[in-house]
Amino acid sequence: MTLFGLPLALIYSQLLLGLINGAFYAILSLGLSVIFGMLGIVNFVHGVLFMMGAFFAWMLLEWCGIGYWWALILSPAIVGLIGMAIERLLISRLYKQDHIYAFLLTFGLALMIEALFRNAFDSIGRPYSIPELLQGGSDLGFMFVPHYRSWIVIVSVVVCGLTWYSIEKTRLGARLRAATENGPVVQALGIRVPRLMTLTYGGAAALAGLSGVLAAPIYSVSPQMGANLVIIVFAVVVIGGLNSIKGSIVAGFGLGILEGLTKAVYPAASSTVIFLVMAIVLIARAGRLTGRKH
Amino acid sequence: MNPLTPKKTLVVKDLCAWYADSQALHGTSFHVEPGEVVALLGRNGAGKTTILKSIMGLMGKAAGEVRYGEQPILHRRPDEIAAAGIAICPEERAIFSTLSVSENLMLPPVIARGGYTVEEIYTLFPNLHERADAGGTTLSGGEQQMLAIGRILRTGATLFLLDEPSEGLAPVIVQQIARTIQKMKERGLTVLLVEQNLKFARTVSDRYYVVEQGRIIDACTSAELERDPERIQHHLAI
Repeated sequence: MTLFGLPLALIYSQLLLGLINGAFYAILSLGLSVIFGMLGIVNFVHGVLFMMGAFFAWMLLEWCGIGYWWALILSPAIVGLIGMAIERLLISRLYKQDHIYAFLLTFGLALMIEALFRNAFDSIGRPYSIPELLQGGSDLGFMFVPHYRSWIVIVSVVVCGLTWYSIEKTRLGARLRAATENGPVVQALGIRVPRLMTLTYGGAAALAGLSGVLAAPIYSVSPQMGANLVIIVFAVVVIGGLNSIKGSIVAGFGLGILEGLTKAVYPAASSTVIFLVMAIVLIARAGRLTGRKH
Repeated sequence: MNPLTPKKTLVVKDLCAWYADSQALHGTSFHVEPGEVVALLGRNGAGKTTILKSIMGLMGKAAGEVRYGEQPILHRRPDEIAAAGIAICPEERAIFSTLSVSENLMLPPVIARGGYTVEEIYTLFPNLHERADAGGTTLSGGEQQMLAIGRILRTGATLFLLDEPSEGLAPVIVQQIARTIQKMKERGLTVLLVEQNLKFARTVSDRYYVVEQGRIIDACTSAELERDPERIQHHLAI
């Protein structure tokens, strides 16, 4: 069977691949846009936090014999704590300065942490096997879907949903939204905004760590695994609208699928299509902003 | 009066404050006794709002002394000052647009027992109850002012800093705000009011300070003002 001259099986498999990538884009861009909204900084460390999530899962298994399911909880917790330390000790000192300083700090930190890991573990990818429970797959008749891939999509949708809920519907989320709008007033109303910022950063870091654990069994675990991803995720955040939770989730999945489809139709463009969309979105927004003046 | 309310005096002594390099307060001194409603009067730019911001810990650079009860509060973090029992209703009201009316109302944490219950706040301001699920900034200006006052009544704070609560509001709303301040006073709460509207201030205040160029230049009680209504008027005339 074919569609527009392309075999359907190819389209389906690229769609699934796109959906998986989209799942990672969604979780990572969610964290980035929450950090941007609340702390006002572009967090270049995000890709490294993702990488550390995967590495800690690998270390837990290799060094401590702790398997995937525990790693799913422990590794994000460790990455979250590291994130809180980074925010408290380093980033928080720069809130009063121009944003460019925090940008440079997180960029430098990302390079340093990646280099440290490369020093200790080399650049070679390390395998991390799929947990027994999620091995195998289902034959849907038109295509074969590995269980682990379905698991990633399900976890991502659940995590995105829970994050959306906790920001939009809970008391803590209301504080977070208010602090995003006007931090000084929220603090004058009695809320410890600096602590809220540390928690927010830690939470977003833990999300990045979680996506790292999810990625470990399908991408090989290597020090540079986050570096390429983070650039794409920044584009996703820009397209989804900075500081928009729903926008990040929708753009994450949507662009992952678009990327997958492009791979089926015109493979050469698959790595640039997201940036093309970003450019179009930026031009369209700029047009809307300046259009009124004329 | 609420027996739980500790009787604390606000003392401000030689308070100086700066916006970047320009000095806005030049040694301001005054005090507010527990249960009093005191109004700071003065022209635009006299430094009234800066006084409230300094008390609340919102000025980057300030010097002098501010005490609430025994506790020195200058140079403390705003959230620590809030925890000491001081609550602010800023001039711009600062209602959050991404929060619903009830989320705005529930935002400030309760710091002590004895605050208003949500039911009491809704009784004071029935409009807020009707629009509890609406977006905070979809309210009218008057309703936003009610919300900005209502949300700090819940916390159990004992000293309320109200920055021009009557500004830009219809007379009927101004009356409602005045009644609210009178009720707060009946409850034993302390209010420090910043106003340009002398007529409104006279309906609620026990004492007045006149602020000019970052200093207190006159002070009087409401009885003194009744005897000599011109006393303050000429400081406020443009």
